[in-house]
Amino acid sequence: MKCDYLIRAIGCLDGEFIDEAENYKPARKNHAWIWAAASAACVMLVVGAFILRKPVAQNACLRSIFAAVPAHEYVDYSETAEKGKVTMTDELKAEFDECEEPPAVLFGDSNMCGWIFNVHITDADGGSRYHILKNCIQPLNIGEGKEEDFLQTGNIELTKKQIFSMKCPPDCTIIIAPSMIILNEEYLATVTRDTLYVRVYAYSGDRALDDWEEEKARILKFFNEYTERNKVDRESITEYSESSGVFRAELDKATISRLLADERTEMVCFITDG
Amino acid sequence: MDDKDIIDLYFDRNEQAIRETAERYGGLCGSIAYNILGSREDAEESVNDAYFAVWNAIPPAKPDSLKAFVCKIARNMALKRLEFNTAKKRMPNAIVPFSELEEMISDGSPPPDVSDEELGKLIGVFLKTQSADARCVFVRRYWYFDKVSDIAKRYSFGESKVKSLLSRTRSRLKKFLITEGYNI
Repeated sequence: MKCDYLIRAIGCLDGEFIDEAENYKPARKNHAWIWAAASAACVMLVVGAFILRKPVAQNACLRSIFAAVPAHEYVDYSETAEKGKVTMTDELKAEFDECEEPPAVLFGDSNMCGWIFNVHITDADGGSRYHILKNCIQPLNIGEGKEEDFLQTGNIELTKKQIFSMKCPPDCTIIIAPSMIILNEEYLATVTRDTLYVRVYAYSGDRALDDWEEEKARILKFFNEYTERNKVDRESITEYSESSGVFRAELDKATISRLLADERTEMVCFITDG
Repeated sequence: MDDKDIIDLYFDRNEQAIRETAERYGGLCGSIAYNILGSREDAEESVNDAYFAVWNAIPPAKPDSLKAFVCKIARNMALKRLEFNTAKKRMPNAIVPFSELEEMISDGSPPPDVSDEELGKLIGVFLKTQSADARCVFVRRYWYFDKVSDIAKRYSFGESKVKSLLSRTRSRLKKFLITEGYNI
Protein backbone atom coordinates (compact mmCIF):
# COMPACT_ATOMS: atom_id res chain seq x y z
CA MET A 1 0.00 0.00 0.00
CA LYS A 2 1.15 3.50 -0.80
CA CYS A 3 0.63 4.75 2.72
CA ASP A 4 2.50 1.95 4.51
CA TYR A 5 5.43 4.24 5.24
CA LEU A 6 3.13 6.86 6.77
CA ILE A 7 1.48 4.27 9.02
CA ARG A 8 4.90 3.03 10.13
CA ALA A 9 6.24 6.55 10.65
CA ILE A 10 3.22 7.52 12.73
CA GLY A 11 3.88 4.37 14.73
CA CYS A 12 7.28 5.82 15.65
CA LEU A 13 5.81 8.90 17.37
CA ASP A 14 7.14 9.58 20.85
CA GLY A 15 5.29 8.17 23.80
CA GLU A 16 4.28 11.67 24.92
CA PHE A 17 1.83 11.93 21.98
CA ILE A 18 0.32 8.56 22.76
CA ASP A 19 -0.06 9.39 26.43
CA GLU A 20 -1.48 12.81 25.67
CA ALA A 21 -4.14 11.41 23.32
CA GLU A 22 -5.12 8.86 25.97
CA ASN A 23 -5.44 11.37 28.80
CA TYR A 24 -6.55 14.51 26.98
CA LYS A 25 -9.67 16.32 28.16
CA PRO A 26 -10.63 19.15 25.81
CA ALA A 27 -11.65 22.46 27.34
CA ARG A 28 -15.41 22.77 27.02
CA LYS A 29 -16.75 26.10 25.82
CA ASN A 30 -19.45 27.23 28.12
CA HIS A 31 -22.41 27.72 25.88
CA ALA A 32 -24.72 26.37 28.52
CA TRP A 33 -26.18 29.76 29.38
CA ILE A 34 -27.12 30.36 25.73
CA TRP A 35 -28.92 27.02 25.53
CA ALA A 36 -30.62 27.58 28.86
CA ALA A 37 -31.89 31.02 27.84
CA ALA A 38 -32.96 29.85 24.38
CA SER A 39 -34.68 26.76 25.76
CA ALA A 40 -36.55 28.75 28.39
CA ALA A 41 -37.73 31.25 25.78
CA CYS A 42 -38.87 28.47 23.46
CA VAL A 43 -40.76 26.65 26.18
CA MET A 44 -42.63 29.83 27.08
CA LEU A 45 -43.45 30.50 23.44
CA VAL A 46 -44.68 26.96 22.82
CA VAL A 47 -46.85 26.93 25.91
CA GLY A 48 -48.22 30.37 25.06
CA ALA A 49 -49.00 29.39 21.47
CA PHE A 50 -50.80 26.22 22.36
CA ILE A 51 -52.85 28.01 24.97
CA LEU A 52 -53.86 30.53 22.33
CA ARG A 53 -54.45 27.68 19.83
CA LYS A 54 -53.65 29.92 16.92
CA PRO A 55 -52.01 28.11 13.98
CA VAL A 56 -49.92 31.11 12.99
CA ALA A 57 -48.54 31.43 16.50
CA GLN A 58 -47.78 27.69 16.61
CA ASN A 59 -45.86 27.87 13.33
CA ALA A 60 -43.92 30.83 14.62
CA CYS A 61 -43.08 28.80 17.73
CA LEU A 62 -41.73 25.93 15.68
CA ARG A 63 -39.66 28.33 13.59
CA SER A 64 -38.32 29.98 16.71
CA ILE A 65 -37.39 26.58 18.18
CA PHE A 66 -35.37 25.73 15.12
CA ALA A 67 -33.88 29.20 15.08
CA ALA A 68 -32.50 28.55 18.55
CA VAL A 69 -30.52 25.59 17.21
CA PRO A 70 -27.28 26.93 15.73
CA ALA A 71 -27.60 25.25 12.34
CA HIS A 72 -25.38 26.58 9.59
CA GLU A 73 -27.87 27.71 7.05
CA TYR A 74 -26.29 27.83 3.63
CA VAL A 75 -26.92 31.14 1.93
CA ASP A 76 -25.94 32.05 -1.57
CA TYR A 77 -24.06 35.21 -0.70
CA SER A 78 -23.29 36.17 -4.25
CA GLU A 79 -26.52 38.11 -4.54
CA THR A 80 -26.41 39.81 -1.18
CA ALA A 81 -22.74 40.63 -0.62
CA GLU A 82 -21.88 44.33 -0.79
CA LYS A 83 -19.39 45.94 -3.14
CA GLY A 84 -16.19 47.10 -1.54
CA LYS A 85 -16.74 44.80 1.46
CA VAL A 86 -15.33 41.46 2.54
CA THR A 87 -18.17 39.11 3.51
CA MET A 88 -17.55 36.05 5.67
CA THR A 89 -20.01 33.19 5.42
CA ASP A 90 -21.70 31.79 8.54
CA GLU A 91 -19.77 28.56 8.06
CA LEU A 92 -16.46 30.40 8.38
CA LYS A 93 -17.67 32.26 11.46
CA ALA A 94 -18.69 28.90 12.94
CA GLU A 95 -15.18 27.59 12.32
CA PHE A 96 -13.77 30.60 14.14
CA ASP A 97 -15.88 29.61 17.14
CA GLU A 98 -14.40 26.12 17.13
CA CYS A 99 -10.74 27.05 17.10
CA GLU A 100 -8.67 27.50 20.22
CA GLU A 101 -6.04 30.10 20.95
CA PRO A 102 -3.76 30.06 17.94
CA PRO A 103 -0.50 28.16 18.11
CA ALA A 104 2.66 29.51 16.48
CA VAL A 105 3.27 27.87 13.13
CA LEU A 106 6.65 27.80 11.44
CA PHE A 107 6.22 27.22 7.76
CA GLY A 108 9.46 27.07 5.80
CA ASP A 109 11.02 30.49 5.95
CA SER A 110 7.97 32.37 7.01
CA ASN A 111 6.91 32.63 10.58
CA MET A 112 3.14 32.63 10.77
CA CYS A 113 1.27 32.90 13.98
CA GLY A 114 -2.28 31.84 14.16
CA TRP A 115 -4.80 29.16 13.39
CA ILE A 116 -4.67 28.46 9.65
CA PHE A 117 -7.94 28.36 7.72
CA ASN A 118 -8.11 26.98 4.24
CA VAL A 119 -10.61 29.36 2.73
CA HIS A 120 -12.10 29.98 -0.65
CA ILE A 121 -12.27 33.56 -1.88
CA THR A 122 -14.86 34.50 -4.45
CA ASP A 123 -15.27 37.76 -6.22
CA ALA A 124 -18.99 37.80 -6.80
CA ASP A 125 -18.63 40.44 -9.47
CA GLY A 126 -16.66 38.01 -11.59
CA GLY A 127 -13.43 40.01 -11.33
CA SER A 128 -10.22 38.11 -11.90
CA ARG A 129 -8.38 36.22 -9.24
CA TYR A 130 -5.26 38.06 -10.31
CA HIS A 131 -6.94 41.36 -9.44
CA ILE A 132 -7.86 40.01 -5.98
CA LEU A 133 -4.36 38.61 -5.54
CA LYS A 134 -2.73 41.94 -6.29
CA ASN A 135 -5.12 44.10 -4.30
CA CYS A 136 -6.29 41.96 -1.41
CA ILE A 137 -3.95 39.05 -0.78
CA GLN A 138 -0.46 40.33 -1.56
CA PRO A 139 -0.81 43.23 0.89
CA LEU A 140 -1.23 40.55 3.59
CA ASN A 141 2.34 39.42 2.87
CA ILE A 142 1.75 35.70 3.23
CA GLY A 143 4.58 34.49 1.03
CA GLU A 144 4.88 33.67 -2.64
CA GLY A 145 4.44 29.93 -2.64
CA LYS A 146 0.69 30.05 -2.13
CA GLU A 147 -0.18 32.55 -4.82
CA GLU A 148 -0.03 30.09 -7.69
CA ASP A 149 -2.41 27.75 -5.88
CA PHE A 150 -4.80 30.61 -5.28
CA LEU A 151 -4.80 31.66 -8.91
CA GLN A 152 -5.67 28.13 -9.93
CA THR A 153 -8.21 27.22 -7.27
CA GLY A 154 -9.37 30.33 -5.43
CA ASN A 155 -8.27 28.57 -2.23
CA ILE A 156 -5.64 29.91 0.11
CA GLU A 157 -4.57 29.40 3.70
CA LEU A 158 -4.98 32.43 5.88
CA THR A 159 -4.88 33.07 9.59
CA LYS A 160 -7.81 34.58 11.41
CA LYS A 161 -5.84 37.81 11.70
CA GLN A 162 -5.23 37.91 7.94
CA ILE A 163 -8.85 37.19 7.18
CA PHE A 164 -9.95 40.12 9.34
CA SER A 165 -7.32 42.45 7.86
CA MET A 166 -8.20 41.74 4.26
CA LYS A 167 -9.27 44.86 2.42
CA CYS A 168 -11.63 44.86 -0.52
CA PRO A 169 -11.21 47.37 -3.38
CA PRO A 170 -14.38 49.36 -4.18
CA ASP A 171 -14.85 47.59 -7.50
CA CYS A 172 -14.90 44.07 -5.98
CA THR A 173 -17.25 41.99 -3.88
CA ILE A 174 -15.32 39.44 -1.83
CA ILE A 175 -16.88 36.45 -0.13
CA ILE A 176 -14.80 34.16 2.06
CA ALA A 177 -15.95 30.64 2.96
CA PRO A 178 -14.17 27.52 4.25
CA SER A 179 -12.86 25.69 1.19
CA MET A 180 -14.52 22.50 2.34
CA ILE A 181 -17.61 21.86 4.48
CA ILE A 182 -18.35 18.37 5.76
CA LEU A 183 -21.98 17.58 5.04
CA ASN A 184 -24.62 15.94 7.15
CA GLU A 185 -28.40 15.72 6.74
CA GLU A 186 -29.07 18.61 9.06
CA TYR A 187 -26.88 20.96 7.06
CA LEU A 188 -28.12 19.60 3.73
CA ALA A 189 -31.68 20.42 4.74
CA THR A 190 -30.76 24.11 4.93
CA VAL A 191 -29.03 24.27 1.56
CA THR A 192 -30.85 26.49 -0.90
CA ARG A 193 -28.97 25.45 -4.02
CA ASP A 194 -30.13 22.55 -6.19
CA THR A 195 -26.69 20.98 -6.55
CA LEU A 196 -23.41 21.00 -4.68
CA TYR A 197 -19.90 20.20 -5.83
CA VAL A 198 -18.70 17.52 -3.43
CA ARG A 199 -15.82 15.20 -2.73
CA VAL A 200 -16.92 11.73 -1.62
CA TYR A 201 -14.94 9.31 0.56
CA ALA A 202 -16.25 5.75 0.87
CA TYR A 203 -14.83 2.67 2.55
CA SER A 204 -14.05 0.09 -0.11
CA GLY A 205 -12.81 -2.69 2.16
CA ASP A 206 -9.46 -4.13 3.08
CA ARG A 207 -6.43 -3.37 0.99
CA ALA A 208 -4.27 -5.84 -0.90
CA LEU A 209 -0.64 -5.16 -0.18
CA ASP A 210 1.24 -6.50 -3.14
CA ASP A 211 -0.66 -6.39 -6.39
CA TRP A 212 -1.27 -2.78 -7.35
CA GLU A 213 -3.14 -3.56 -10.54
CA GLU A 214 -5.43 -5.96 -8.73
CA GLU A 215 -5.99 -3.34 -6.04
CA LYS A 216 -6.90 -0.64 -8.57
CA ALA A 217 -9.33 -2.99 -10.27
CA ARG A 218 -10.92 -3.87 -6.95
CA ILE A 219 -11.36 -0.22 -5.97
CA LEU A 220 -12.83 0.57 -9.39
CA LYS A 221 -15.29 -2.29 -9.03
CA PHE A 222 -16.35 -0.94 -5.65
CA PHE A 223 -16.67 2.59 -7.08
CA ASN A 224 -18.89 1.34 -9.93
CA GLU A 225 -21.16 -0.62 -7.59
CA TYR A 226 -21.29 2.18 -5.00
CA THR A 227 -22.19 4.89 -7.53
CA GLU A 228 -24.70 2.67 -9.30
CA ARG A 229 -26.45 1.66 -6.09
CA ASN A 230 -26.71 5.30 -5.03
CA LYS A 231 -27.83 6.40 -8.52
CA VAL A 232 -24.95 8.83 -9.02
CA ASP A 233 -25.08 10.36 -12.46
CA ARG A 234 -21.74 9.38 -14.01
CA GLU A 235 -21.65 12.48 -16.15
CA SER A 236 -21.59 14.58 -13.02
CA ILE A 237 -18.28 13.03 -11.88
CA THR A 238 -15.32 15.27 -12.67
CA GLU A 239 -12.46 13.50 -10.88
CA TYR A 240 -11.70 10.01 -9.64
CA SER A 241 -8.67 8.81 -7.70
CA GLU A 242 -7.74 5.27 -8.72
CA SER A 243 -5.64 4.72 -5.61
CA SER A 244 -8.34 5.56 -3.11
CA GLY A 245 -11.67 5.63 -4.92
CA VAL A 246 -12.31 9.19 -3.78
CA PHE A 247 -14.27 11.15 -6.38
CA ARG A 248 -15.61 14.65 -7.04
CA ALA A 249 -18.96 15.38 -8.59
CA GLU A 250 -21.70 18.01 -8.92
CA LEU A 251 -24.63 16.25 -7.23
CA ASP A 252 -28.20 17.10 -6.37
CA LYS A 253 -29.39 16.95 -2.77
CA ALA A 254 -31.33 13.71 -3.22
CA THR A 255 -28.19 11.91 -4.42
CA ILE A 256 -26.13 13.37 -1.59
CA SER A 257 -28.75 12.15 0.89
CA ARG A 258 -28.50 8.65 -0.51
CA LEU A 259 -24.73 8.74 -0.17
CA LEU A 260 -24.96 9.98 3.42
CA ALA A 261 -27.35 7.13 4.21
CA ASP A 262 -24.98 4.51 2.78
CA GLU A 263 -23.05 3.04 5.68
CA ARG A 264 -19.93 2.67 3.55
CA THR A 265 -19.75 6.43 3.09
CA GLU A 266 -17.03 7.91 5.31
CA MET A 267 -17.44 11.55 4.40
CA VAL A 268 -19.09 13.83 1.85
CA CYS A 269 -17.48 17.28 1.66
CA PHE A 270 -18.93 20.32 -0.03
CA ILE A 271 -16.13 21.93 -2.05
CA THR A 272 -16.90 25.61 -2.06
CA ASP A 273 -14.80 26.42 -5.11
CA GLY A 274 -17.02 24.19 -7.21
CA MET B 1 2.70 -1.19 41.86
CA ASP B 2 3.76 1.55 39.43
CA ASP B 3 5.45 1.30 36.02
CA LYS B 4 8.92 1.52 37.50
CA ASP B 5 8.21 -1.49 39.73
CA ILE B 6 6.88 -3.46 36.77
CA ILE B 7 9.99 -2.64 34.73
CA ASP B 8 12.11 -3.83 37.67
CA LEU B 9 10.24 -7.15 37.52
CA TYR B 10 11.20 -7.45 33.85
CA PHE B 11 14.82 -6.80 34.73
CA ASP B 12 14.60 -9.49 37.45
CA ARG B 13 13.08 -11.84 34.83
CA ASN B 14 10.10 -12.29 37.10
CA GLU B 15 7.06 -13.45 35.09
CA GLN B 16 4.84 -11.47 37.42
CA ALA B 17 5.88 -8.56 35.13
CA ILE B 18 3.72 -9.92 32.31
CA ARG B 19 0.70 -10.42 34.58
CA GLU B 20 1.04 -6.87 35.90
CA THR B 21 1.41 -5.51 32.36
CA ALA B 22 -1.66 -7.41 31.22
CA GLU B 23 -3.70 -6.16 34.15
CA ARG B 24 -2.67 -2.56 33.68
CA TYR B 25 -2.55 -2.26 29.89
CA GLY B 26 -4.27 -5.35 28.57
CA GLY B 27 -7.54 -3.54 27.91
CA LEU B 28 -5.88 -0.70 26.03
CA CYS B 29 -3.68 -3.02 23.98
CA GLY B 30 -6.70 -5.16 23.22
CA SER B 31 -8.71 -2.22 21.94
CA ILE B 32 -5.85 -1.00 19.74
CA ALA B 33 -5.46 -4.49 18.28
CA TYR B 34 -9.22 -4.87 17.81
CA ASN B 35 -9.43 -1.49 16.04
CA ILE B 36 -6.88 -2.77 13.55
CA LEU B 37 -7.96 -6.39 13.18
CA GLY B 38 -11.70 -6.33 13.80
CA SER B 39 -11.65 -9.81 15.30
CA ARG B 40 -11.53 -10.61 19.02
CA GLU B 41 -9.60 -13.82 18.50
CA ASP B 42 -6.97 -12.21 16.29
CA ALA B 43 -6.71 -9.25 18.66
CA GLU B 44 -6.13 -11.53 21.66
CA GLU B 45 -3.49 -13.49 19.85
CA SER B 46 -1.63 -10.41 18.73
CA VAL B 47 -1.76 -8.92 22.24
CA ASN B 48 -0.26 -12.14 23.60
CA ASP B 49 2.43 -11.86 20.94
CA ALA B 50 3.02 -8.32 22.13
CA TYR B 51 3.54 -9.43 25.75
CA PHE B 52 6.10 -11.93 24.53
CA ALA B 53 7.85 -9.23 22.52
CA VAL B 54 7.90 -6.87 25.52
CA TRP B 55 9.37 -9.67 27.67
CA ASN B 56 12.16 -10.08 25.12
CA ALA B 57 12.71 -6.34 24.73
CA ILE B 58 13.03 -5.45 28.45
CA PRO B 59 15.92 -5.58 29.24
CA PRO B 60 17.93 -4.09 27.64
CA ALA B 61 15.26 -1.51 26.83
CA LYS B 62 14.22 0.63 29.80
CA PRO B 63 11.28 2.68 28.53
CA ASP B 64 10.36 6.02 30.10
CA SER B 65 6.71 5.24 29.55
CA LEU B 66 5.81 1.57 29.87
CA LYS B 67 2.31 2.29 28.56
CA ALA B 68 3.57 3.86 25.33
CA PHE B 69 6.18 1.11 24.90
CA VAL B 70 3.69 -1.75 25.33
CA CYS B 71 1.04 -0.07 23.16
CA LYS B 72 3.52 0.56 20.34
CA ILE B 73 4.49 -3.07 20.31
CA ALA B 74 0.82 -4.13 20.40
CA ARG B 75 0.07 -1.81 17.48
CA ASN B 76 2.95 -3.14 15.42
CA MET B 77 2.01 -6.75 16.15
CA ALA B 78 -1.57 -6.09 15.08
CA LEU B 79 -0.45 -4.39 11.87
CA LYS B 80 1.81 -7.38 11.09
CA ARG B 81 -1.12 -9.72 11.66
CA LEU B 82 -3.31 -7.56 9.43
CA GLU B 83 -0.67 -7.86 6.72
CA PHE B 84 -0.65 -11.62 7.19
CA ASN B 85 -4.44 -11.87 7.18
CA THR B 86 -4.78 -9.78 4.05
CA ALA B 87 -2.09 -11.74 2.23
CA LYS B 88 -3.91 -14.94 3.11
CA LYS B 89 -7.18 -13.35 1.88
CA ARG B 90 -8.74 -13.58 5.32
CA MET B 91 -11.08 -10.60 5.51
CA PRO B 92 -11.30 -9.06 8.94
CA ASN B 93 -13.90 -6.47 9.81
CA ALA B 94 -11.41 -3.76 10.67
CA ILE B 95 -11.81 -0.34 9.22
CA VAL B 96 -8.29 1.03 9.19
CA PRO B 97 -8.26 4.50 7.66
CA PHE B 98 -5.87 3.72 4.82
CA SER B 99 -7.92 5.59 2.22
CA GLU B 100 -7.63 8.83 4.19
CA LEU B 101 -3.86 8.60 4.34
CA GLU B 102 -3.54 7.33 0.78
CA GLU B 103 -5.43 10.37 -0.44
CA MET B 104 -2.57 12.49 0.90
CA ILE B 105 -0.10 10.76 -1.38
CA SER B 106 0.05 11.78 -5.03
CA ASP B 107 -0.36 8.97 -7.53
CA GLY B 108 3.00 7.79 -8.73
CA SER B 109 5.08 9.42 -6.00
CA PRO B 110 7.56 7.00 -4.43
CA PRO B 111 8.06 6.72 -0.66
CA PRO B 112 10.52 9.34 0.63
CA ASP B 113 14.09 8.29 1.13
CA VAL B 114 14.09 8.50 4.89
CA SER B 115 13.77 6.01 7.74
CA ASP B 116 10.44 5.48 9.50
CA GLU B 117 11.97 6.88 12.71
CA GLU B 118 13.16 10.07 11.00
CA LEU B 119 9.82 10.60 9.32
CA GLY B 120 8.05 9.88 12.58
CA LYS B 121 10.19 12.52 14.33
CA LEU B 122 9.28 15.03 11.63
CA ILE B 123 5.60 14.23 11.97
CA GLY B 124 6.06 14.78 15.70
CA VAL B 125 7.58 18.22 15.04
CA PHE B 126 4.56 19.05 12.89
CA LEU B 127 2.06 17.76 15.43
CA LYS B 128 3.58 19.95 18.14
CA THR B 129 2.62 23.00 16.09
CA GLN B 130 -1.02 21.94 15.98
CA SER B 131 -3.68 22.56 18.58
CA ALA B 132 -4.16 19.90 21.23
CA ASP B 133 -7.58 19.05 19.77
CA ALA B 134 -6.14 18.45 16.29
CA ARG B 135 -3.09 16.60 17.60
CA CYS B 136 -4.99 14.21 19.83
CA VAL B 137 -7.67 13.50 17.23
CA PHE B 138 -4.93 12.75 14.69
CA VAL B 139 -3.14 10.38 17.04
CA ARG B 140 -6.37 8.65 18.05
CA ARG B 141 -7.25 8.03 14.41
CA TYR B 142 -3.89 7.09 12.89
CA TRP B 143 -2.01 5.64 15.84
CA TYR B 144 -4.81 4.06 17.87
CA PHE B 145 -7.04 3.52 14.79
CA ASP B 146 -10.13 4.61 16.68
CA LYS B 147 -13.31 5.04 14.69
CA VAL B 148 -14.47 8.61 14.12
CA SER B 149 -17.55 7.99 16.27
CA ASP B 150 -15.40 6.71 19.15
CA ILE B 151 -13.10 9.73 18.95
CA ALA B 152 -16.12 12.02 18.95
CA LYS B 153 -17.50 10.28 22.04
CA ARG B 154 -14.18 10.26 23.84
CA TYR B 155 -13.60 13.99 23.47
CA SER B 156 -17.27 15.07 23.41
CA PHE B 157 -16.91 16.47 19.91
CA GLY B 158 -19.38 16.19 17.06
CA GLU B 159 -18.38 13.71 14.36
CA SER B 160 -18.25 16.56 11.85
CA LYS B 161 -15.70 18.33 13.99
CA VAL B 162 -13.55 15.21 14.20
CA LYS B 163 -13.67 14.69 10.44
CA SER B 164 -12.94 18.35 9.85
CA LEU B 165 -9.95 18.32 12.21
CA LEU B 166 -8.58 15.19 10.55
CA SER B 167 -9.02 16.56 7.07
CA ARG B 168 -7.33 19.88 7.86
CA THR B 169 -4.50 18.24 9.76
CA ARG B 170 -3.80 15.83 6.92
CA SER B 171 -3.75 18.70 4.46
CA ARG B 172 -1.35 20.70 6.62
CA LEU B 173 0.85 17.69 7.23
CA LYS B 174 1.16 17.13 3.52
CA LYS B 175 2.15 20.75 2.94
CA PHE B 176 4.58 20.60 5.85
CA LEU B 177 6.29 17.49 4.49
CA ILE B 178 6.52 19.05 1.03
CA THR B 179 8.05 22.18 2.55
CA GLU B 180 10.56 19.98 4.33
CA GLY B 181 11.57 18.55 0.97
CA TYR B 182 9.57 15.30 0.90
CA ASN B 183 7.52 15.11 -2.25
CA ILE B 184 4.62 12.88 -1.21
